[in-house]
Amino acid sequence: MDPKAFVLGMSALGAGLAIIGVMGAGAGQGYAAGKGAEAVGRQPEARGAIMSTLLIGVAIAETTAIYGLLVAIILLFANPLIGKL
Amino acid sequence: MGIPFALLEAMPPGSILHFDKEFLLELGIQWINTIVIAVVLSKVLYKPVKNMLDKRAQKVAAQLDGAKKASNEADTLKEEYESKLVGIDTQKAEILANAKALAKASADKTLADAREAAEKLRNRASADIRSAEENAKAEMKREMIDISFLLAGKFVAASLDDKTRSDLVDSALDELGGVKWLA
Amino acid sequence: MDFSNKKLAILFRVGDANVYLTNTLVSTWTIGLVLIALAFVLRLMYMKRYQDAPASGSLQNVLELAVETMSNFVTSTLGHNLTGLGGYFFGVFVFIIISNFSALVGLRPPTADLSTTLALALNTFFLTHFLGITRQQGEYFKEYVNPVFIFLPIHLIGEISKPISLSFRLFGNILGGVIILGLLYKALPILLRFAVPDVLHLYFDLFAGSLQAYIFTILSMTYIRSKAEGSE
Repeated sequence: MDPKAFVLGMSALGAGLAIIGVMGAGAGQGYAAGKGAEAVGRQPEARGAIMSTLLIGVAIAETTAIYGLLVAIILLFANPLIGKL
Repeated sequence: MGIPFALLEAMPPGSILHFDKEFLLELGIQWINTIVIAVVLSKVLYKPVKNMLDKRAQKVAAQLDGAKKASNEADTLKEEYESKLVGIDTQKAEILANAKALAKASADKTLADAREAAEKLRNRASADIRSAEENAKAEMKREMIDISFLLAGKFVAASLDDKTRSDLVDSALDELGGVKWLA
Repeated sequence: MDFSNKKLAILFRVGDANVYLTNTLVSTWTIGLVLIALAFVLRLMYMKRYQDAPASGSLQNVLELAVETMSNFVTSTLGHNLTGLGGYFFGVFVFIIISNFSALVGLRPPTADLSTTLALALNTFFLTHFLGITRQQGEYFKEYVNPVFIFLPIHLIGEISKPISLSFRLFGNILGGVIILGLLYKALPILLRFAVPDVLHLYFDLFAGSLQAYIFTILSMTYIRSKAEGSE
């Protein structure tokens, strides 16, 4: 078997596995957005402040998903393992 | 340095993500590009418009301040006038009261004077009357004495009897009006 | 299928590395020239026909609204001490949002290249620490050993991860849009390519594009403020 094909296949698999990590961020962001909607429903006049706080929180929670995406993108498009062969 | 825009050369395949020396060069170029764009947009568009807006906000604030000051001034002026008006009212009432009191006092005084004068007049009149009475009484006494001396002379002269004499005296006394001048 | 950033020509060589004229560079320069030209035109028009009370719907009104919104946003996010950065963030926001929208006219968004987003994130990084050191002095360094000295590496990793996550968030979102739309264009028969991808353009280019521009700006400001004013 061509070792390069094996590395590429495994990298693609790794990229897919890495993207699983995005799941948690999605769930967390959904929860945060739901809480934000609740807060807006309770206090509609504080909508602006709630929105900006929510967006900052969501963006920071997204960081973990970004790292998963980073690993996946590197494995797919800038594979460092191919060069090691 | 090579040939610029070497379009005819076959180019290597493109990439989505790569971490090498080329990436650092691209990063440097993009760094300059983004800074130039951001700074130009900031200096050319944002700052002047912001300054204009700030200046306008200041102008509006100054106008508002002026209007507020003017209205405050008008308010104080109005208050002053109102207080003055109230003062005038009280002053008027005071003057009126003073005048009334003055008039009343003078009237009272005149009345009292008149009364006093009248009293004095009456007193003097009554005193006059009394003195006149006294005088008249004294005169009468003197006249009576004169008359009695006259009568006595006549009696003596006529040498009347005791009865007639006492009758005469009695009648003379009766004529004189029952004045008990001997008592 | 090729969604890569194509190399069009060699600009110059530095040592043994080539600097290529890439799609990203072409679209960056296009967007930059358009924005700068627009800025000068608007400036000249605005200055020439400046009025105290602009007519509703006029260009001046739109410009004033944009600047005032940005200024309020900067004041509320950065605080009153750092309003001088408003111009820079105005420029960055406009550049990112126009870059993200540029996929609509067929350009490759400059933000779909890590070099652009990392350059922007590094600007934020250097601004953050420059302002942190100049404004906070000793307090700035004390925060790295808070609460005890052992936490120093954690703080350092946290600081280094900020520009990485900032740049990869923007890059990943826009690149994702580019890849998904490219796949869709390849998958659809030619006749359907006109109407169907519009919905995805609406989501990936307009919605995600403006949201990511907003998030990049607000996160940059939050990082800068937390360092410049000290974390309380």
